[in-house]
Amino acid sequence: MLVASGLVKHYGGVTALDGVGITLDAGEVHALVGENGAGKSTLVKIISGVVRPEGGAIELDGEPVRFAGARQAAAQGVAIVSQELMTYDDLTVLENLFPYGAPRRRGLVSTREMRRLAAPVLEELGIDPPLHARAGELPLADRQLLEICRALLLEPRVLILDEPTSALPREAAARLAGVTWRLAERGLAVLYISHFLEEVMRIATRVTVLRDGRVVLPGAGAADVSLDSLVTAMLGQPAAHGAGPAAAPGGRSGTEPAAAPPGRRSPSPASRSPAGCGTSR
Amino acid sequence: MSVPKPSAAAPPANGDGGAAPRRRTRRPVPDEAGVVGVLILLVLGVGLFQPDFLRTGNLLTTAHNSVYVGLMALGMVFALAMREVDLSVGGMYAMGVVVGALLIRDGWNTWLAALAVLALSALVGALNGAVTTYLRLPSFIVTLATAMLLRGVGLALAEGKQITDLPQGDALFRVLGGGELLGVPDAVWVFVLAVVVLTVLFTRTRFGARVRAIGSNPEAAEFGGLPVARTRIAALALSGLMAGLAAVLALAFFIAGDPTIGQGYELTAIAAAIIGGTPLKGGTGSVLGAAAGTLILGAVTAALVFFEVPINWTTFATGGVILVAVGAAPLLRRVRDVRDLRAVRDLRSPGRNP
Ligand SMILES: Nc1ncnc2c1ncn2[C@@H]1O[C@H](COP(=O)(O)OP(=O)(O)O)[C@@H](O)[C@H]1O
Ligand SMILES: [Mg+2]
Repeated sequence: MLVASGLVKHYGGVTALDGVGITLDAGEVHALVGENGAGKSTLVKIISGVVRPEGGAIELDGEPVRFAGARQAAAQGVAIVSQELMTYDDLTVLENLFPYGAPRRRGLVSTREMRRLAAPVLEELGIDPPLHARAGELPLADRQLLEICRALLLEPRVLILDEPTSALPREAAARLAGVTWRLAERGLAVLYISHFLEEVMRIATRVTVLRDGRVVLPGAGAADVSLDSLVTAMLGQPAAHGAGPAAAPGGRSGTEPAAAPPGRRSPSPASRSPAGCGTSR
Repeated sequence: MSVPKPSAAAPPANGDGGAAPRRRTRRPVPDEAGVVGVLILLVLGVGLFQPDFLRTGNLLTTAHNSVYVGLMALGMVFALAMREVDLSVGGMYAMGVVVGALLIRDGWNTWLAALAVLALSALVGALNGAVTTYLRLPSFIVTLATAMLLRGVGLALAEGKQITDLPQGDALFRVLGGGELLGVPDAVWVFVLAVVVLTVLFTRTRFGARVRAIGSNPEAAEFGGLPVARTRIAALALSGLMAGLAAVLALAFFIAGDPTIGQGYELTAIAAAIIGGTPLKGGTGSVLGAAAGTLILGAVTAALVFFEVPINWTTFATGGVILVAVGAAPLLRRVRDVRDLRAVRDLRSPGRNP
């Protein structure tokens, strides 16, 4: 549905992306993992149009697109939740959910209409915040969920979540995982960025690994890769070495058994793993 | 951790308990309550010592005197709420008065001249916004410059003198200047109407929400693709328009064009807005609060006359009031915030009340 290919981006002397591509299909939860600084957020910013790439292309439904920003992307069905918190803390929770123009009645913003539209999405995410409180009064986790709620209210076909669980407590993260699944089941393409590998293994149908601005594991079926091989791909060496700046992710991901949990289904189309990259052992 | 199944969205452990009765979404106490309360207490307090202060006539005169800077304060709320400031409203006001007077002296229909003043001030306000945007300068600098430009234009057009010999009996002067409805000066009604309209604009329209969103988190607004430039231009145009409206009312009342009118009004307007709960850091604000803030300052000025404070000390006293009011406002707000926060927390965790 959304295909990015050959993206190149330098920041001064730093190579953020060096020919990166990724394919998002309808009905999949595609995880993008990589260490801090691997280039994940840069990829998101390029897709949203906030950052201009030096090379490469993005296609939506086979048509080349270049969004001018998150709003235009949203208008074409691509909703993006960036890594940085983008809530308007002085505005009410409801107002935060409709930044591009709240529903109106007789020319005025309709609180009732906003509430009606937001209720099912809030319920799906499992939060019930005080709707007229300032968003800044909510705990960080709720604000993060608020942004996801905002994205879902755009009724996107492609949903991009950049580290959505970084501030979430476990049960909220689990709930989000459930939501992600349901969205994929409805035919959305979800790009799910995280560096919690355990979490990724749980919810992704496919995994792409980025290291130093390059794809080292392109869209492998999540069932076919082990946690160890992911760690190896991320670090460029088996985790045990832990040399360089890299020791953290392995440790953070925990050492839960990597096998796919019994309940895992593969939303259609069946996860395919593009050729190459014999990373799965 | 278990596998997330679609049906597994069980009620979370952290409050919102599924069995608990659905709580009402409560609107927080309005920010304005404190300022309006202070205004009332102030008026009553002065009245305690000077009963004449509470005479309707005096209160209406005091309100009438506050209308001009008050209108500018209302517009200033929009500028401040989006982290801008409009220092040009005093100059805009003077220029508006002069231009209106000149047009009328040249034989324009007075209402048409008033409309021209409104259009001109909105346009110049929009230019403030456009220059701020396209030169990427702070509006502080841009409007500081235009403040002088506008006052200079007013002085030059009027050749430094008051413009008088206007048709005294004209309808505009009779209605907007001296007219009353239900015993209240028409200018005060215009002010009340402006408070209502701008309150709705600020709190209940997409434009108002955008103004507050941009002031609250400019980076998010930029990322999210909100029309920041267009909103800034509109907000400063609105601020200019309010100064123009003040000019029309002043022209109608004084029936003269004085190019030196409204010195320092921009600062009083900013002070009134801040007293009324619109912080310089933007994101929020209150039109009604700005009105109350203006009236507080106006009431103090009037009270000083009653207490026979020498006229030369009124500026000093006004400065003191601004300091006290601006200093006290955050305290008031903090009390309210703590209470709100506590309420929110109680809602989240009904079992863990402190
Ligand atoms: N605005 C920027 N200016 C300079 N360098 C940047 C900027 N944004 C990202 N980078 C660099 O690009 C690389 C990739 O960053 P990023 O995409 O944020 O990584 P990730 O999201 O995977 O942690 C990093 O080396 C980072 O320092
Ligand atoms: Mg990142």
